[in-house]
Amino acid sequence: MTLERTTGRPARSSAAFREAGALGWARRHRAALAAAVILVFPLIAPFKALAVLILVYGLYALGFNLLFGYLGVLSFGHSALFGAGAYLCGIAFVHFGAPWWAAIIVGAVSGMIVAAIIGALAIRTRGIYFAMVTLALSQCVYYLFYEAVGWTGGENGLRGVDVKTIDLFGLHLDFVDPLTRYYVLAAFVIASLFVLSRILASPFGAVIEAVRENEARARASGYNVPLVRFVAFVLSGGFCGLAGALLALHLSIVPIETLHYDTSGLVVMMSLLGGMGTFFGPFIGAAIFLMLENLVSLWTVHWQLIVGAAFVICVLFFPRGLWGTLLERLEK
Amino acid sequence: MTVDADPVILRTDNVAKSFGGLRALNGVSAAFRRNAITSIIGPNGAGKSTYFNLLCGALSPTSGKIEFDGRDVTGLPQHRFAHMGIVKSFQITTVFPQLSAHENVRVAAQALVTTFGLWRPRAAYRDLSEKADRILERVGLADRARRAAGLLAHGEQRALEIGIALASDPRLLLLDEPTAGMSPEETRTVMDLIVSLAQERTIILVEHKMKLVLGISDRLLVLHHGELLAEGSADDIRHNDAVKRVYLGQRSH
Repeated sequence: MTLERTTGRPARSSAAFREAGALGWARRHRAALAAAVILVFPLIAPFKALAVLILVYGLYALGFNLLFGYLGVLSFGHSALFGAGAYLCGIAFVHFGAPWWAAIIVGAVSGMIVAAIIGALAIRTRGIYFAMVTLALSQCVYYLFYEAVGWTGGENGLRGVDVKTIDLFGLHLDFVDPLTRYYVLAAFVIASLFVLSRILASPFGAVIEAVRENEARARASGYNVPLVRFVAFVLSGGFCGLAGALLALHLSIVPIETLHYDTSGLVVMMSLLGGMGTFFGPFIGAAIFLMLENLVSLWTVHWQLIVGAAFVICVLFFPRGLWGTLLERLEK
Repeated sequence: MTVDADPVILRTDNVAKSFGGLRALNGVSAAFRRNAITSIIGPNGAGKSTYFNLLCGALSPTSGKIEFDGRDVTGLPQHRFAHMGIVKSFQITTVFPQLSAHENVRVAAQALVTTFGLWRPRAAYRDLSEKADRILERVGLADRARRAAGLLAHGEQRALEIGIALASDPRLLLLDEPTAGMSPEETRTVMDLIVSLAQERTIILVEHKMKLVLGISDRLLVLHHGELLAEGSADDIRHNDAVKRVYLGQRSH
């Protein structure tokens, strides 16, 4: 960062501190640049279905990072938000015959509602206790969906989320084609990127970072910290629920594993791998994780061993994540 | 301000605070005059910090009443205190380390305007940025605005701490050992700053080193073993036998 000494006049506001250079420019257009990466990605990705998965888990990780990276709160129950989004999207589609776009909205809203319920119960706990309470509550959600066989298909998952074609503004799109599917779902992810970037640049974005940096100070300055944490949790639930809904449409089925606590741990790994607290790092982390998983599992069934080792090496040598470390290097 | 007729801004009525079996504060009644500097002094373990934390709402009293501007504020959550104009600085430096000095002050100022504004970019709130600039100028950190607060020198962080408190437009500013760990020069600078701030607002200082505050305080409260030992002007305190015994004597004044 260049430190310009102001002469005579008082220092200008940070709004007026336009960071000079390519990095500053990139930061101001982070959502557009991320969108460009997403638009180009399937053209170079080896498998199109993998590209769609990266899109879905990338959004999941971005939503998780709002809480983990920006607010500084570790949740071990995000599978509940992701899974509720997937299931409620599927239920709306399968049982209520909702059109695909309405089912997606139902999914995103469900993520927020489940986040509001879990948040209301967990938000006053701290640190490891918060992680444990969210884990426990997400297990409750898991069993709820597991037992409601009539609605969810129980162990077999919810089948029949089949969207074959999409008619939009006179366009007739073949949703079975992976590339078309990618771009339809990418529209939602890109819209989320812009919304997320906007939230982070808003006054509320400043508040959650202040709470992460120093909770006692934020409280003394007049912020209602529990309410701030709650709202951030619900917003995070919206993005994760949307990601879940996109997963349901992509797979045409909602597997019960979506709600499993593995899925909660997965997103922590993805965020750490890419770089928590950076705008696009978690998405990169999700991409690297899923690509590693896919490539390594081609030649060995013990892919988890290799991916696990790669994760440990990353955490040891790139504590700020791959993307976070790269940004740090560029800043210097 | 319309309620300025009352010369007392803050009043505590027999407030006590216990932590489990430990009685840290044992029924303190005192009145704090508006737009004056009142210092709370006393030896270690006298209950100064506990009393301070009751005044700024960080703790709620076990019993007794606290009145601010004629309004009962006992037991209100702390973030409400800031909105009424009661703001504290911390004994241990607590800034937002990874945020710039400017953002530290700006985000504190923002609390009075919006918490949950999700859409309009914060860059559009120009008045908040300008206010942060003015405050940084005031506390002598204008040329440090863009530096991460965690990278500032200790004295600069203490000044920033006061800047953060000022951002909330306090009518009552509570400072907990504002010069702790400062060099003599830095201490003088901060003391001058405090005196200049007192022209527009009430200041309550908690200080361990009595010499520092005798010169600048309009009134002093001396706490000892959780009770109010003495109260009065600097001269009263200097010549108070009880104070001499428990405080000045042991510090070989």
